[in-house]
Amino acid sequence: MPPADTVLEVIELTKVFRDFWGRESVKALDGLSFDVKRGEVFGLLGPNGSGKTTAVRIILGLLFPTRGAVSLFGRSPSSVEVKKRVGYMPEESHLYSYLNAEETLDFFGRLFRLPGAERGRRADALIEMVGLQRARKRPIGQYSKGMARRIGLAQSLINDPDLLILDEPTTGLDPIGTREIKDLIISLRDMGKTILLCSHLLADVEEVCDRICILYGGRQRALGPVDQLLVATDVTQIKAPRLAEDALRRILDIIRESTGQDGPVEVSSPARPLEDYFLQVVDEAQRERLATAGAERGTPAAAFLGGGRPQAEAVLGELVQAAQRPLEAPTAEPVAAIPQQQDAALLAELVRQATAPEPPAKTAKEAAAAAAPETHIRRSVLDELTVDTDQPRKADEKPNR
Amino acid sequence: MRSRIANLWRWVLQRVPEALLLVFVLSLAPLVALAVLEVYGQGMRFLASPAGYYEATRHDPWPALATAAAFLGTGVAAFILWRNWLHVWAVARKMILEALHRKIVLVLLIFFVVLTASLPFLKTEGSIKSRVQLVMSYSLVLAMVLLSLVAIFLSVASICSEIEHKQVHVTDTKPLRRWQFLLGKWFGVVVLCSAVLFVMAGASYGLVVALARPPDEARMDPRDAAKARQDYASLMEEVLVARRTVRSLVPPGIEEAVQERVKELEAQGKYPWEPGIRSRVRKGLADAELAARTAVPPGGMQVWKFEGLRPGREGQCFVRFKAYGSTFEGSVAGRWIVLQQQRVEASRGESQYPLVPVAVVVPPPTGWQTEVRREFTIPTRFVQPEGTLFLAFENLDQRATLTFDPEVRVEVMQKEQAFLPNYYRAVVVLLCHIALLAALGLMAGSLFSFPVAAFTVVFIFIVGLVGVWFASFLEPHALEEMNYTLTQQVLRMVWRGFVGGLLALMPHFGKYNPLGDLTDGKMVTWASVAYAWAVMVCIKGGLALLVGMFVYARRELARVIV
Repeated sequence: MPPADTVLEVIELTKVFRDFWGRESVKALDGLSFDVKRGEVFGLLGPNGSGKTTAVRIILGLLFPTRGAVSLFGRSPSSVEVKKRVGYMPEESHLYSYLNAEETLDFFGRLFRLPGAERGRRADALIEMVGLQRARKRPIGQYSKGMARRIGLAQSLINDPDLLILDEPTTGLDPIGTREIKDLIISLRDMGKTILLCSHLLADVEEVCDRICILYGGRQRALGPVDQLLVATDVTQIKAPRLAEDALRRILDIIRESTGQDGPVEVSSPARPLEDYFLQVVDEAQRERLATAGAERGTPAAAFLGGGRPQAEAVLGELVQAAQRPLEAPTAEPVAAIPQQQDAALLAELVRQATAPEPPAKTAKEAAAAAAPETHIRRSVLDELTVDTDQPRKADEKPNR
Repeated sequence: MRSRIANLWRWVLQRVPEALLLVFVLSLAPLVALAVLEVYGQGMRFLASPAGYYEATRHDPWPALATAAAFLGTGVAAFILWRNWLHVWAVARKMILEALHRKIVLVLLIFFVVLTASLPFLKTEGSIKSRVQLVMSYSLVLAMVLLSLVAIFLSVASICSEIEHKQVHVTDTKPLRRWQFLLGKWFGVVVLCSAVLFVMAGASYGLVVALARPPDEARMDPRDAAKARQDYASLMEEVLVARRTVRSLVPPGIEEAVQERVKELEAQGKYPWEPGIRSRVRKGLADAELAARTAVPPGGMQVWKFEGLRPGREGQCFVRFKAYGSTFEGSVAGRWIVLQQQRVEASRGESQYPLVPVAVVVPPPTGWQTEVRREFTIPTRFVQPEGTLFLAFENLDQRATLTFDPEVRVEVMQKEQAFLPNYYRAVVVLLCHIALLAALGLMAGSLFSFPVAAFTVVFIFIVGLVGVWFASFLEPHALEEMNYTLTQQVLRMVWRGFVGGLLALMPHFGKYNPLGDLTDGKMVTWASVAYAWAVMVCIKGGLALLVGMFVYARRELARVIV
């Protein structure tokens, strides 16, 4: 038996797919082991085809393991008692395309034997939470991909689950939706819920996960707390207000002195992430009440989530505010700082900055180039600096190794 | 305005599943009443004379057995439905809603209304009787075929497409057992299809009633009026009625004669060892014996006895017979004589009960046609108080000997009930077909992927329709087949076992088709309803559903089967 605070335990999981003749065609998982503790956000990472989805499907009882075992709340995944406490948002929205949002939530609510009034209350709260108030009567088949993802998220929360399993939760979502899901994940964790997140979008994972497991070829390559795994012990990062060129040169000299001539040194000014700017533009549009047929901005976590636990109820108000803060903070400041007419020019520049510096492939190349003795200073970037904010740089631009 | 209509439509749509459930329950309520009445009747018969009841049951155990099986199966099913109601109804309701959103029901009803409305205008021989028969049988066949296809495709597609489009990945992670999921789907298909079936059958009944109006004689030529009146009377007496059929008793001594012939064959080493051929040989011998014993030579007479008729002062009994003449004339001269047992005081104080002629049925001027069923009527008052009737055929032909068909012999049909209960029972038998098809669809859907599953069930459906004809290939042609070599015999046994077994598992839609009897004004008996319900819904349908549940519960749902 796993300890009481272990929600999910995966032991030596191996899954082999065989073809018609019984020959091994794919080994999707190979001895995968990890466990998820109560109240943590656990990320399952890996490139396409690394076995993330297979692992999730075995955890949910949709596939049976070839070897190994899964224990959810100390029981088998196919147990009905377990299923009452689990919410699952699949990779794509596999929902009934002829039903509308209300009917879908009503159907899933019935499967949890929720009484009629309660079903209606939860459905309303969830539809509002995922921002589909205006599309609630439309068949899901007519939804855009992102809207379908939102209703997929809503159905996974109808039973106020203790364990939420999200398979690629942010694919297909617009930045607002992505932001909302991340905030929701954080506020659900704060309510004491456990979340298993499966993704290859590293930015999402890094922001919300407590611990991660990285899969490759069905095998576990890394497992541990995110901040421990991501600390680059051989690199030092310095953040400072804007420096004059002269000061910069002196700092570079000091660095060269202490590291020797061949160490890679890079100086640039941080760009505001495009995500922040995008959220700001959409927020303005919504403040002007422009009509949209699509998804609207959702509200934070629906009130019934967290169940009947009194302390959770008490904390909820606070949490809702906490969840809203990251949304508001980056938008308020730059609006004040930048004159309106400069917006277009700024956007162009921001886009350039967001795309130009170090996409992951380039980072790898630079890491390779680092072996060369040349010091690489990107003066062009320096010269272009127009804005300085105290925004942290996008996390995934750091080399991970 | 438009959005108000849309809102209203949505409001209505949300309540349609419950409405269909209500229609379903209400339309089955009379069946429950009928079943209770039947059990009460059997109980009374048992109480009246336990020995007689035992004897009758031993002679024909099917009504009692089928009733028991139907009650048992339905009880078990109802109990399981009741215990799992919330889950089952959630799945069934979703299925119905989906079908409504896909406008399946709407298209179905439009098809039915358009086609049925055109039926009264089809060309018939002109009499109101044939018109009503045509409208009734065609509209019910239409409803049956449409709903069978809908039941097949709804059940197959709902399983296969949910697996293929991965909706089960979500549904299966909810606290719903997989067998509940399948049961819910079956129940949804059955509720939807049977509610629509009863609505269609109700429409068809309304059409029949509208057509079967008494002729407006005041506006007609007196000759036409007389014909129309006769036509109407024959409609009411021969179609819109439930008549019970009583077949003449087999003359005694046949079984013994067959036994003797079998012994002879065994002594000669000609009696086959294959059970199928044996029964066939015995039946052939019995038929030959019966035909020989009841053949009426020129100037001869054959008396047929009927038991279990309903005596009465009013009304008519319909007598039907089928016979073959020994000449090629196509007809035989002769007359039917109604006989009655009358008590005669004989000498020494003993009573005798000789048969005394009381009426004669005058033959048609051309004589009785042979090789087709002929029908005539006699007044019901000739049936004796204990329900017996004696009919004699006297052969007045100069040359031809008349041989009665051993299957039909002579039948007497009596009005037993009104038309509506009969119609209702026939529709219930059709419902059994649909319930079985839905179960088969779910089984195939859990075994195979979409096109294969759909083809499988459509194939089963077609074999079920022509199954009787198909099964006739399996019947050996009596005695001449005994000369097979051992290898041939073994191959035949294997083939017959395989195909015969398959046919036994498959539904026999032809065998249980009540529409022929219904349009002939014959009684669709409770026994046949109970038999269809027990065999098609409880046994075969239950088996198919269990196989489906077993396979589905053990399937890796996330694995794509190509």
